[in-house]
This record gives sequence, C-alpha cells and structure tokens, in this order.
Amino acid sequence: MEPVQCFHCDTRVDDYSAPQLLILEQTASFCCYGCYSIAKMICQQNLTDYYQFRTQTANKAEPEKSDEIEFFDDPEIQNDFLIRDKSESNDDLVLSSDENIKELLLLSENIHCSACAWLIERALNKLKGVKKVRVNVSSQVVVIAWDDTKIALSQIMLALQDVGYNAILYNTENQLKIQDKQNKYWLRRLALAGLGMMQVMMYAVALYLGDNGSSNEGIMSDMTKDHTSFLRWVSFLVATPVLIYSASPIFTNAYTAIKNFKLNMDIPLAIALSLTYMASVLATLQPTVLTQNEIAYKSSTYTTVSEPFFISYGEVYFDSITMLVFFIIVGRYLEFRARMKLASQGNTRKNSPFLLVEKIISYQSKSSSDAEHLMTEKVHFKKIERGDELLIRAGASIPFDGILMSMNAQIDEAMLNGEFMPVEKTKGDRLLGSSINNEQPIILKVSKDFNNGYLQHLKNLQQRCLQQRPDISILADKIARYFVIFILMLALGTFFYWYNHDSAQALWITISVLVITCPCALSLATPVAQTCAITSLNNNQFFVRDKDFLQKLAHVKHIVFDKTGTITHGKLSLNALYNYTPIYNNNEAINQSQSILSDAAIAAIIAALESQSEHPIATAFNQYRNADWSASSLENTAYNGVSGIIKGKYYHFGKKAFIDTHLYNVKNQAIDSLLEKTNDPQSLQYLACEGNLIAAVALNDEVRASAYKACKLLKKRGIALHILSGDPSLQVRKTAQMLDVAHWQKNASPEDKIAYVQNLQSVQGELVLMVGDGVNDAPVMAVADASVAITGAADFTLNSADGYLHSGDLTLLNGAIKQSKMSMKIIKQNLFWALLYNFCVVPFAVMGYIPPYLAAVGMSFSSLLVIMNSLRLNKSFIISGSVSANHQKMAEKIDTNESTVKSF
Amino acid sequence: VDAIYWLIPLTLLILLAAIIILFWAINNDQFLDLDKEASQILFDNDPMVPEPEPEKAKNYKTDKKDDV
Repeated sequence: MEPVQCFHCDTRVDDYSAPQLLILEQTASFCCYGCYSIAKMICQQNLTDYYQFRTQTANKAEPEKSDEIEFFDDPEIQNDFLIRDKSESNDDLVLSSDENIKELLLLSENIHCSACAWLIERALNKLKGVKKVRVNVSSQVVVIAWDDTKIALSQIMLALQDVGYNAILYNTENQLKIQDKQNKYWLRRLALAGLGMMQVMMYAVALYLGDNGSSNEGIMSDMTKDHTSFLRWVSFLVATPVLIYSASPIFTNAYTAIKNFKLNMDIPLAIALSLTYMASVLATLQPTVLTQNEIAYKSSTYTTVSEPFFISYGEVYFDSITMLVFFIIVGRYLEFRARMKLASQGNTRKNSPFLLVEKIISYQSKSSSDAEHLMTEKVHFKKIERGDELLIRAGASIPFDGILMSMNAQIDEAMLNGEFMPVEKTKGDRLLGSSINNEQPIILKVSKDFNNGYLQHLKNLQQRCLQQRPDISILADKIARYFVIFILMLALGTFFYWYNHDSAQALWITISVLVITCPCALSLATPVAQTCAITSLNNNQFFVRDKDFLQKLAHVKHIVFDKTGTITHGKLSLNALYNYTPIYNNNEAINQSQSILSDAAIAAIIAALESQSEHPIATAFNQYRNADWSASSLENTAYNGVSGIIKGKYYHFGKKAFIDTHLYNVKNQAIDSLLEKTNDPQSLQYLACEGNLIAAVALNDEVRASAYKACKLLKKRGIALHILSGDPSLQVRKTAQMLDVAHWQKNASPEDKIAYVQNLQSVQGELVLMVGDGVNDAPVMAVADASVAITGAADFTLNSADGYLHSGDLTLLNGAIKQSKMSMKIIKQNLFWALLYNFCVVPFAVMGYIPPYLAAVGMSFSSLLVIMNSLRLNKSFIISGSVSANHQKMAEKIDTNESTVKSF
Repeated sequence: VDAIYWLIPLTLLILLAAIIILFWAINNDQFLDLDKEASQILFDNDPMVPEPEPEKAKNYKTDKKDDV
C-alpha cells in the first residue's frame, strides 16, 4: 500500500487530524490543518487549476501570528518600502498619481512555479482595492499596488497567507533592481547578436555560393565583383554593432584580466574577434575579387601547389564573428540566470524579526522583572542605542548582545553554538544576539550595538577566512592559459614562415589560422556544462552559487558536518520514554492506586499538558496529541513545568526539581534505582500523577532520516566523514555512533572548527567540504574548500556557502557529488573534442587550405556538439533519497498493521 | 536597377525595426520573467473575467477521515 502524502505539500501524512477534501476528483489528505485550510481556500476560490498545473509542490503551511502583519499597515514602516518613482515600474496604472494608491514589493520564499504566480494573481485580484498584482517567479517577488482607503496591506498579506504564501516586505533598493538591470543587459546583447548572426549568415551563404575565388568551377561562380563587394559591406554594417555592443562583456573581461596580469578564456576570444574583424574590414576595403583571367594569371605565376587562390587577397569572416559572439553570449546568459536563481534564494531568508524591536519607555510598576506592566514602543532596530532596554517576547529572537535584566530566562542558542538544549540564564548574564528567547517575556539591556556583537566577531572571522581560502585553479582556465600561448606562438610562426615565402599572403593565412583555432568550442566547453549541471541541481532544490563549486565537489575527500540543524533537525523530539506505571502494580509495598498506562497514553497526557505552550519541549509532543486526553486548568510554572487536570487526576510535568516538590507520596525505591541506570537523569523530563512519579522522557534532537542513507552512500564513495559540533553534550558522540562516523569533536568553538578543517587541508592536502547551518559555522565554511548551507541556515551563514541545500535532504549531497563528477567528465569530453578538432584542422589552416565557409561550418558544428553533450547533464540527475526511505518505513508500518488484522 | 541594391537595404531596415522593437520589449519588462509566461497558456481562465461566487464552487466537500 502506498504511503499517503499531503495533497498540498507532499510531506508524509502522519496522522489524520486534518479533514480530507475532494479535489480534482480525488480524495486529498493533508499533513496538518494549515495545509488543509490553504487547499480549502484554493478550492473555494475556484483555483484548483493550480494543483493541476504546478510543477513543484508547495511548502508546508506555517502558522504566522496575524498581529505581526498588522505592523505593516503602519505608514512609517511602509515608507521604507514603497515604490515612489512609479514611472520606473513602467506600468499602465491609470491612477498612479493618486496619493492613496501605494505600490510595493512582497517577497515570498514559497513561490516556485508559474502555477504559484497564477494562483497569487487570481487570489489577490479578487480583493477590492487591489489595483495591480504581478508575480515574478524567477525572483519570487510580488509587485502589488493597492488603494489604501479601500484595503489595508495586512489584509492583502493575510489573503496571500490564506493560499499558502507567507510574504515579507521587500526593499526596492535591493538586489532585485540590479538583477533586473543585468537581465536586460544580457537580453539586449543576446537579441542583437542573434538577429545579427542570422542576417550576416544569410549574406555569407550568398558569398560562399557565389565565391568565384575558391574554385574555378564554383557552384554559382557568376557573381559579379560589385555584388560581392556590396554583400561584404552589408555584412560589415551588421556585424559591427554586434561586435561593439554584444561582445562588449568579452572585451571588458579580457581588458581587466590583462590589467591584472592574468590569462583567462576571454583573452584569446578578444584577440580572435578583433583580429578577425580587422582582417575582414581590410578585405572589404580593398578591391578584392579577382576575375577569372586574373586567377588564371596568378596561378600561372606561382609554381607552388600549396598556393591557394582564395586567400591571396583576403576573405571576410563576419559570419564567424557574429556566430561566435552569439554562442558566447548565450552561454553567459545561461550562467547569469543560474546565478540569479541562487541570489534570490539568499534574499528570501527572513530578516523581519529584526525589523522592529520593543523598546521600553517606562516602568509602571517598580519591579523590573514584571514584563506585563511596561510601556513599550515599537522601534526600528536601527534606532536602538547602547543602554536601551528592550522587551523580548517569548519565542522572539534577541536582536542585540546584551545583559539580562529579568530574573530568569531560557535561551535557545542552537544557532550560535549548536547546543540543542535550551540554556538557563539568570539576571546579569550576557545574552548573545540572534539567540532565541524560549519562555516568558524578558528584559534585555543592550550592551553592544548591532555592528559590534558576537555576531560581528564571527563575521570578522569569516572575512579573514575567506581571504585565506585556498584557491583552486580551474581546469578550463589552465587549458586556456596554455592554449592562448600555443595559439599566439603558432600564429606568429605561421606569419614568419609565410612572410619569408610569400609576404603578400602572410597576413591572410595567419588570420585564417586564428579563425580556425577560434576557441569557441573551447570556451563553451566548461561554462555550458557547468550551467547545465547547476540548473539540474537547482531543480532538485540544491542551489549552487559558485560555479567552481562543482569542480571542487568532484574532488572532495572529506566532508565535515555540523550536528545541530544539519545532521539533526535542530528541534527536540521524543527519544525515549520510561514508563514506571507497571512498577506500581508489581510492587506491593506501595499501595497507591495507579493504573497501568500505555506509552502512547503517557505521551498523549504530556501532549495535553503542553498543549498551550509554544516551547520547544511542547512542540516535541505535538504529534502525540490525542482527542481522548484533554487537560483542564492548565498552569504553567515558568522555567519549571506545567500542571493540569486530566480525567480527574492531577498531573505535573517538568524538570526534576519541579516534580520533586509535587511528590508527596513515599519515595519509590524501584523507580529511583531505575532512574540511576539511565545515563543522564538531569536531562530527563518527568511526569507525576497524583504525587506519584509515573514516567520520565528523554528528549533528543532527532537525526534527519536522510542522514543515515547519505552517510552510507558517501562512505561508499570513499569520502571520510567528520562531525564537528559546538554542542558540549554527549549527544555528539551518540549521533556519530548512530551514523557510524569515525571522526567527531564536541564542544568546538568556531576557532576550533577552523583549526580542525585547516589541519585536514594541510596535513592530508585534500579538499574539505563543510556542511552547516548555524552562524557559528560561517567562519569554518569560509575556510573549507567548498561549503553547503542547509535549509534554515542563517542569512549570514548563507553568505559564505557555495551551495544551499533547500530541501534538507542530505542524500542530495551524494547526488550532487555524482553530478559534479559527471559534469567534470563531460567538461573533459568537451575539451578533448575542442582540442582534437583544433589539432586536426590547424595544419591545414597553416598551409592555407581552409576556405572561410568551412571555418564557419567547423566552428558551429563543434560548438553545437559541445552544447549537446553538455545538455546530457540535465537528464542524468535523479533524486535518490529520503523520500523513498520514508516510503519504505511507512510501508513497513502498514504491513505490520495488515498482518495483525489478518491474524484475527 | 539591380534588385539586390534596394532589396538588401530593405532587409537592413526591417532588421533595424526588429531590433528596435525587441529592445523596446526588453526595456519594458516583457522578458522580465521567462518562467511564468512560458506556461501561462495552460491556465485557460482569463484572470480579468469576474469570478463565480465562492459559494457556488462545487468541486470540494469535506468529510472526516477514518481509514486509509
């Protein structure tokens, strides 16, 4: 039986708490209520086409508090984002001069395909007061204009949420504008090169066919001298703008390379282009075409057979020039598009929690720990100064380094140091920016400004590491370097040889050598293959920023993983449950009435007790919630635990100290001895019922399901795996053992991690790939040869990553390595072909046997071959991984269920 | 007059016009999003057509789930 997947987001359906819908004539199940309500909304609005045509599944619904959205209605906040210069957006908005019509950009990470765009445009167009909606899928941006008197921005954003797109405001001065500009820059050049190429080719065909120089019995050798000259002039007219405008990026690149004393692929291209162009112009200027008589005369005056006629007075190569430019620009544009894709991924990381902070203006009551009686003001984070006091609500992230002013706090520092258990802090402790406040509102006194905190320290470290990063020389560049030298030597040699033998022809033969060796295929060999490989990885939610990343990945010998959030999910889940209820019945010394509860019932009880809380421990139990067990009169004791009444019995759940105060029955020896056997009693959470300790649970940061398979596959490739974690707990060793990873280190500071990786690099001399997510990983990712950030990674971690694993499926790493090896293979094939072609034809060119049309045909043929070969990369990549593992697990579960049914 | 001498300049004019139109289109965001417009045709409903009331949508219904 097939496992059931959420109709909306394709995640596995664990429980059937959410109702089903009938969509597109099939029953749809949902993983959660959020997805269900989105699907319901989509159906209600008659937008089911979305499900029919989407090419990528949606993200899982995430609940967002609506009161946060209302901030965006504040004109002051909107001010920073509004598009004021409406003329720039080039839209036919009639009422754009109206003061009430506002326009801005919303950014949503969840926009994947054109079906998303359609869905958003339809859903928002229905709202009254919305004047314009335009979705850009490539940049994941919604352009929206609305009448402020008729609808509030928050309503629009809520409508967007209803169909599953959480959005944030997007600053217009951001990258989008630059990207937009660059996109147009490349498109214009591509358009001109394409049109010019086709046109010049047409004239060129006429010239080839009518070429009365190349052979005496020419196909249509009756072309007059005037016509030939005219066609050459026309070709010149069209090819010139192509060279000046479309090829300008090539020339500027070559110029900067020369200025910095470097050789790159653009230098031979620029040399070939400009020399060929100048030669063609010279050929056009002089009265070229010979009459039959002249040819006869010429051939009689020379005795050497190797003397070709056609070269004698120059040929035009305008067709080769335009075609070369077009092919190169196509390659560059594809490259740009792949880069843009990752850039937009980086943008969408949310930074809204930092946008507004609550600054405390005055205390109503004198007790400073009482967060309820404070006057606060929402302030933009830039306006906060040292010494200001901020109110940090439960679940919010801490924007600045500071001193805790409240009595207690429980802080989640997983992002900063990889410690997965929350850390207890007391008054006066130092809190670090970008950690998360788990419980109870707290007061923070800002001690350092935004640019000078722990985060900044890591940033500086990252910067320094990036400079130290070992540079890998790119295969194609290496070949290019030799090739440039080789070609220039060859051309010089040819020139001198012919200058001594027949000085009139020397220039033309040299030019033909340069055209023939035209490095088109060679220069396309690497970038096109890389772009194809990157695109195919992108389509699998593995985003690659740096194109050299692939080459590094293919040679990686060590992979260093961070633990929390990378190998694990970075959130707590139930690891072990110690059920003590059977003991009460076996042991007659104790006569408390305590019925035996199943493990599932205990989990359900805890879930019921924690149902009101958003604490990480509470969320670990969410999935065990059961309607049979519901709690009343819940009471939360901050930092300690919860208590409540379930089925008439009084339960307590929390830390050991908290539970001890509620154990009024005789201590149970049997349980105490059992407790001592568990290896870390302090990390356990306890459940007591009516004064009896009935259960203990161990919480754990669960290892990603894909990690097991990924580790196995990677080891099979002969790659050494390492785990480096800032987490000081035993968990690191356990995880390493579970995954059978031989090398691990716990309690590693960012500096330790750098030292570890540098040691691997220097001692073993091998390439290291770092996979991480936390901000503490950012410096080490900068020092590693290649680095991958995993889903949920901090903004700033993403900055130093070459790749971004958006789906969190670690097996994709193996796929990416496979893909990079494949792309290396294809690049080598391409280079081999390009070089082989060159070596075969160069001798003929040197001898002066290649007519221009053959040069053009040969060039385009080898370029096409290279492109076709590279396109194979698009097909070769197949996701293997955790999805199928999940299927298997689920199938096994169902199998056992079925067999029990059969046995009845 | 030889046809070539006025037909080829004519193609040049047409080429110029094509380039101008293409540049105009590029500068006016016509090629801003190459992903979306490619499959726009699949969605046969025109977004500008007024919608039927949501209550009339018949292709969904809710029912409680009990087994798989």
